[in-house]
Formats: sequence, structure tokens, C-alpha cells
Amino acid sequence: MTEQHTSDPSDKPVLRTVSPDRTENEKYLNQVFDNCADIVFRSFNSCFGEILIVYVDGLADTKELDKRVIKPLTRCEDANDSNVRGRLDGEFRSKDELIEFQEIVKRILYGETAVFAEGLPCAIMIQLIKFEHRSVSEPQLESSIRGPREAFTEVLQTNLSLLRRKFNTPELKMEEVQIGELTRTRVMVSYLADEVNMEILAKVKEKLTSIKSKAILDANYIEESIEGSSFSLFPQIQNTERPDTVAASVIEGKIAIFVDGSPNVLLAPMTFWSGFQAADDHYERFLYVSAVRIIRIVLFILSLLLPSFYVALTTYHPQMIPNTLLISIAAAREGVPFPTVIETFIMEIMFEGLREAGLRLPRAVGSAVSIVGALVIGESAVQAGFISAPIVIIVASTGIASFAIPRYNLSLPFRLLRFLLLGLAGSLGFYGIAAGTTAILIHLCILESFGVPYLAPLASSKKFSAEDTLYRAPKKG
Amino acid sequence: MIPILIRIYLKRLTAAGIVLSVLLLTGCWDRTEINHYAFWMGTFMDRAKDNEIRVSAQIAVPSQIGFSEGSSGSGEDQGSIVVSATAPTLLASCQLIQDKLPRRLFIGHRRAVFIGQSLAESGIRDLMDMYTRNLETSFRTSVFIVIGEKPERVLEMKSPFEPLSSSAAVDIEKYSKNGDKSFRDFIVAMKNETTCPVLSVINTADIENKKAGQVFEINRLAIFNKKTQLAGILDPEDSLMALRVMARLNQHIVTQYISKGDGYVTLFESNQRTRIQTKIEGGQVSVHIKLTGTGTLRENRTKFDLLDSKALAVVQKELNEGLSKEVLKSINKVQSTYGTDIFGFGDAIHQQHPGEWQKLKGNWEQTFPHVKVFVDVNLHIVRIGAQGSPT
Repeated sequence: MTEQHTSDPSDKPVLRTVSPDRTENEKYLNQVFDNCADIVFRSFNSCFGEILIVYVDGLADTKELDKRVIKPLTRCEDANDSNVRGRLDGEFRSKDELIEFQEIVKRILYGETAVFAEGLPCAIMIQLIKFEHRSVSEPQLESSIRGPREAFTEVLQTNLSLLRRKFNTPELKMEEVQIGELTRTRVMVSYLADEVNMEILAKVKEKLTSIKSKAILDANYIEESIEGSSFSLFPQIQNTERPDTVAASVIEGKIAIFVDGSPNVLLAPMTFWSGFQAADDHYERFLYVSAVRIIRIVLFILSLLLPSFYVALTTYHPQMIPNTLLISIAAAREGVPFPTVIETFIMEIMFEGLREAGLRLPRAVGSAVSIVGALVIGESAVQAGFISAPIVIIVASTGIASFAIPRYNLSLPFRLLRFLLLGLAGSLGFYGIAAGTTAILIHLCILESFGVPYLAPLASSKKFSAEDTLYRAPKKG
Repeated sequence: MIPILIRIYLKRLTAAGIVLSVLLLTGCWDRTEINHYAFWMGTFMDRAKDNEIRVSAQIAVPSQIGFSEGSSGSGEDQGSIVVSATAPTLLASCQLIQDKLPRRLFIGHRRAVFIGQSLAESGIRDLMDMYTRNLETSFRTSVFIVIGEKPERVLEMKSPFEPLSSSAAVDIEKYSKNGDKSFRDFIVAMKNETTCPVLSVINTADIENKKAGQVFEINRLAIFNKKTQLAGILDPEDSLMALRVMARLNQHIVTQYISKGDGYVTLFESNQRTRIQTKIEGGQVSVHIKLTGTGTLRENRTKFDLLDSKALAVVQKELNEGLSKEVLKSINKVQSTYGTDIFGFGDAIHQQHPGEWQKLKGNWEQTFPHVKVFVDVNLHIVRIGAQGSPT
């Protein structure tokens, strides 16, 4: 993967190793970096003859370069070192000397600085990488009340260090793969050697290396390429922006996949129940957390079923509604033009619209959207008699319930399935809901994430355990 | 990308399309929007000419019931309309009622059925057939017998608390001593070999017009014979005692004059139990009824200081004796006047003397008035409140 693609040998000069002739090297590099205005070639006279340094503009620390490379090389009066190599030794303890151009070009593109000296048959690679990036900040999506408040950034090294700081053991392994013909993105597979299931690890690695993709711009590019059932609505790989979540998952034997340039770290395998585990579930006392988890599961069921239940009840099974409630619903529906199903569809779509608009718009405009939404949908539609008031209550409660699922990627399938069930409820009543939920359950039971049943450990052939799924067991005995 | 997907999933898409069109195009929907229903909340039935049945339906008008915003408060709103029709069978008259309405009749939420006295006297067994046979009707419906002038008025009454008089009647029955004698209990008793059914009674003469609405009372029992014809209507006192023996009393407040203490006491009875022991000696059937319970004394107007256990024993003894006499009197009255076994004596004999019952059951209706009844009341006063003597 790493070695085959620097330049096509057929139309490029034959020269593949560094020659002692500086100008020849420069000529070759100029050819490789044709039309790359951000590659800087700097030549200067030093005490040791002509020197050429090559680096990427913006990736190298030019101040340090001046101070630690150019200055020492041009100051000839105290020249007791015999050559360039010796002089740079005094400044940099670790540096590489390379002769293969392929490797040199790659290193330059990562941000290292290459130094070519007249008569030296190799390039000295100096690591003076410095570029602009976001610093570690608070998590945006998975905020918590208690517990650490750091989130991953776009820089791989930073992300790895955030995880490594939590493990003082060499058992935490990090294996690097480079993926993407163009981006050659660094992907790091991290796991705890004595916890991980080797079969799953082999499967993940095999899938990663077989990715044939031009570019990897975000973790999702990897996620979609390696998940088992692409057409399942349910996510089979979890993602997180919290180092502590990654650490906890790695301890459970999961595999973390870091992708350079993405603040989200992938965790595989994922089970259904991890969607209900919030980051601070283990930072709060267990009784409270267990109660909250039950509420989450109830709300999740509501978010999936409430609109379809309402539609089925009012249009097919009015016997089941208590007397007074029935009459107040009937009174509210008096004069409403649409059937209940259509009404619910309209309101659900409007709500999804509000949600999407609120997500994309700048914060200043976002509040305007919510005000308009609340006024138009909540008030005017009901007063004008287009929509009955109970529908607004139902849709609003469903919306609130759907926000109670801690993992955003698990709330997405239910957003879609809600519409499916709504259609079934509108055409077949409770029979439709029963059929739909049965189909969903069957799918969930069949679904696997890297060989692990999706509903494990509650519904799998292995030992039943609800200790961190339906509730959270206490930490002490 | 999309065309490729379509090609791959063409079969599945076709199948899904067929299923969808079957669902949507065949018109096999029994979907009815809730505001296209006419909610039938209460029925009044009575005999019309030529052996036909006149059925009146109380149909709720949701927009006029004060649940919805804006329409509450205006006193002119009725909350319901009454539509009537006369036909030989119940369902035929239901059809005639439907013809008068712009919405589909929905009977699943009916709370109450009121039956006129003349219809009840001619027998209601065949009417019940429609209710037990029809899937849409609810077993939790309450059934009442209406006596007095213009009995159809019950549907048009306006309770100050409930927008619909049917709901009001059901709730009054629920909190009265009669308790909830739902349609189900009536059917069960009706199908029993010997026990005769009872129903609560509403008397239109009792309807009081208050400023805020109309108030009526439920404290009598209508008793039926085995042909499910109305046999008679018990006094409030006899109704109370009969319900006590049947162990179906909702709550029991006993008030008794204590002659030795020269005043009345009132107590709440709880943990009521009824035990019926039967004996057959030489063809003479005798029934021993033992009523037990615990009481909380709530009002003491005697001269006794009840903290004194001797005084309490006197009160308890006199109370039990008085109560025994009253129960016996009521039972004898039912035996002699109506001759219908509403207490389930027949069932008790059946269970305790299955052999003799085979001989008895043929003419139980003739035997029942001559059964010897002994009543033993054993009420135990366990709480007397915070003070002994009346203040």
C-alpha cells in the first residue's frame, strides 16, 4: 500500500536515488513537484558549499528552520565540524538520511524538511513540522455533566496522545495503515492486546487493507467501507469524539480506528445497547444512571411508536381510548380537513424540516427558525383548523423523546422507521404496527457487527447479561 | 449509482410495489376518522305499540362538550342530542337511527342502557341477545331500570358534573351503595340456573332541578324473575339488606338505635363476609346466613362512654341483634312478595347438597318462598375514634 505510488517511472527521469550532484536532485524534484506552488525550494551558500532545502509552505516551522538549520550552516567562523552532517548533528539528535526519492517525496509532503548538500549522496530529513490546527476543546455532541471534558481534534497525533495518556501499558497497541491513493490518510487501529478478540481484529484489519478508495476525508469513509450490511438502517460501527469513551470501549475489547483529519474515532464492533450508553453513565452513581437508562429506553420506544400508535388508535381502534379522552380528541379534530395519517405525516415532515434547518443554519438565524416554527406550527396551524391540537402534542413529544437517545447515529434509523411504521399504522392499524415492529426485531436479531450479534448480550447465544445494557450495575461487588 | 441499485433490487421493488398497491388500492380500509363517528353514549329502550321497541340514542356532540378549548362555559350547549326510532328489533331501530345521522354510529363507548318499566315487565331476555351477540358492544356498560313518568327524560337530563347524563348515571351508581352492577353481572345472573338478576333503578320522580343542573339518586334495586321479567322494585332499605346478603354492597354505613343507650350510633362496616349454610331436613329447606364484618364507629349519639369496653359490648350486641332482624325482614319480604331467588340460595344448596338438589331444582320457584331463613349478624367494632363519650 505504501510503496507503490509516488511517480510513474515511465514518463519520469530514471533517477530514483539521490545523486551527489545537487543540481540534478533539484531538477528531479522540480519535475516531481511540477506546478506545486506550495513547495518551497531554498538554495543558499553555506560554509559547505551550496545547500538546497525543500519543504511544504505552511507545514514547516520556518522560524526554527532559520535558527537551527540555516544559521548554523552559514556561520563559518566557528567551523570546527567537517561537514553538513556534523553541523546538523549538533542541532538535531534524531534525523534520517534517505537516498530513495520516493520516500523523500513522501516525507516532504508530510511536512518534513529535506536538506540536500553538494556532494552528499543522501537527503537529511529534519522534523520541524508545525501547522495550524484546532486545539483540544470540549465535546460538542457528547457533552456530559461529570467526567473529562476533552474531545478529539482533527490531528491524529493529538488524538493518539489523548488515548495513550489513559493507558500506562504497552498492551495498548496502535497499528498504522495508510489508505487512499490520493490522500494517503494515516489510519490507526488501536486495541488492548489481551482484551481484543483476535478474530475480530483480523477481520477489521483485512477489511481496512482491502479498501480501494481514492480519498479518505473523514472517518465515515472508513465506516461505510468496512461495515458488514451497508443497506441496513442501523449503524454497525459506533463513533465518538470522547477519548474516555474510546478508552472504556478498548477495555471492553473493542477496536478503535483513528483516522487522520477526523475528530471522530470509530469503535467496532457496535451493539444496539451501546446506543443507550451515554458518556457520563459511569461517572454518576449507578442507581441514578440505571433509572435514567430505563427512561431512555421508554423514550426510545415512544420516539419510534408514538405517532403510529396515535394514528392506529384514533382511526382503527377507538374502543381502546378512554371515554373522555376520545371525546376531547373528537372535539379537537372537528373540522380538520386531513385524515389523521396525513396530518401526522405533514407535522412529522415539518418537524424534521425544523430540525434540519436548525442544524445547518448559523446560530444567529437558527433561533429565528425555531420561533417561526413554534408560532406557525404550534399556534397558527391549530387555530386555523388545518391541524388538530393532539397531533402537535404527539409530534412534539416524539421529538423530545427522539433527542433522548444519547448516540446520534442510533437515533437516525428510528427517525426513518417512524415514517415506515406511520404508513403501516395508517393502512393496517395495530396489525401494521405489530408487523412492522416484528420485521424490525427480526432484522435486529439477524444483524451482526464484525461477527458479534447486534443485540448482544441480551439476545445472543452467549451468556445473557444486562449489567451495562438495561441498567448499570454498581462498580463495587 | 442509483440506476445500478434499482437494477439489483428490481425484484424486491416490484414485490414491494405490489404489496403497497394491494394495501392502498383495494379499498379494504376500515379506517374511520374519529370525527366521522357519532358516539352513542347512552340508550333508552321502551315498549312501543304493536310489540315494537322504541330506541332512543344519546349521541355525544364533541364540539359542544366543554373539553375543547373555547366552547366551555356557555350554558346553552347540550353536549348531546337524542335520536329515536321504533322498529321490531333493536338493530333495525339502530339502522333507522343511523339514517338520521351524518356520521357513523359507534356503540363501543356506550356507558349506559336505560330500560323503561313496561319493557322490563314484559321481559328483556331477548333484548340481551343482541348485546351478547354483537361484537361492538362493551360489557362494561351499566344497565338501569327507569320508572316514573316520562322515563325517556333520563337521556336529556343535564348533570352539573358530567356533560352526558349516561356518564352521570354510571358515576352515581359507582359511588352509591349499589356499586357497579354492570351489564356483565346481569348476564351472569341471567344465565344462572336459579339466581335471579338485579339492576339499579332510576326514578324520574326523584329528579331534582337545581340551578346548575339536574340531580337524581340511585338507591333501589329492581329484581327480576327467572324469565327476566321485572318482578318488583325494592325499597331503599330492603335493597341495602339484599345487597349486604349478596355481598355486593359497595360501602355499608349502619345506623342503629340503641335502646339501652337512648340514641343512635353510626358505623362504617368493612371486611364484609357472607356465609350461607343450608340444611335439608324432611323436605324442609332451611338457610342459615352468617354475616360478619368489622366496624369503625364514626358517630355516637348514645349516652355511653365507649372507651368503656362493657358499654361497647352492649352497643355491639344490640347493633347485631337489630341488624339481624332487619336483614331477616327484608329476606322474608322478597320471599313472600316477589318469590325470586336473588340471593343465590339455590346455588348454595346446589353446592352443599348436590344429591338433594336434583329433586329440588325442578320446582325451586315454588320452594323458595317457603325456605326457613335464620340470620346471624356478627359485626365487630374495632375502632371507636379518638374519644369515648359524645361531646
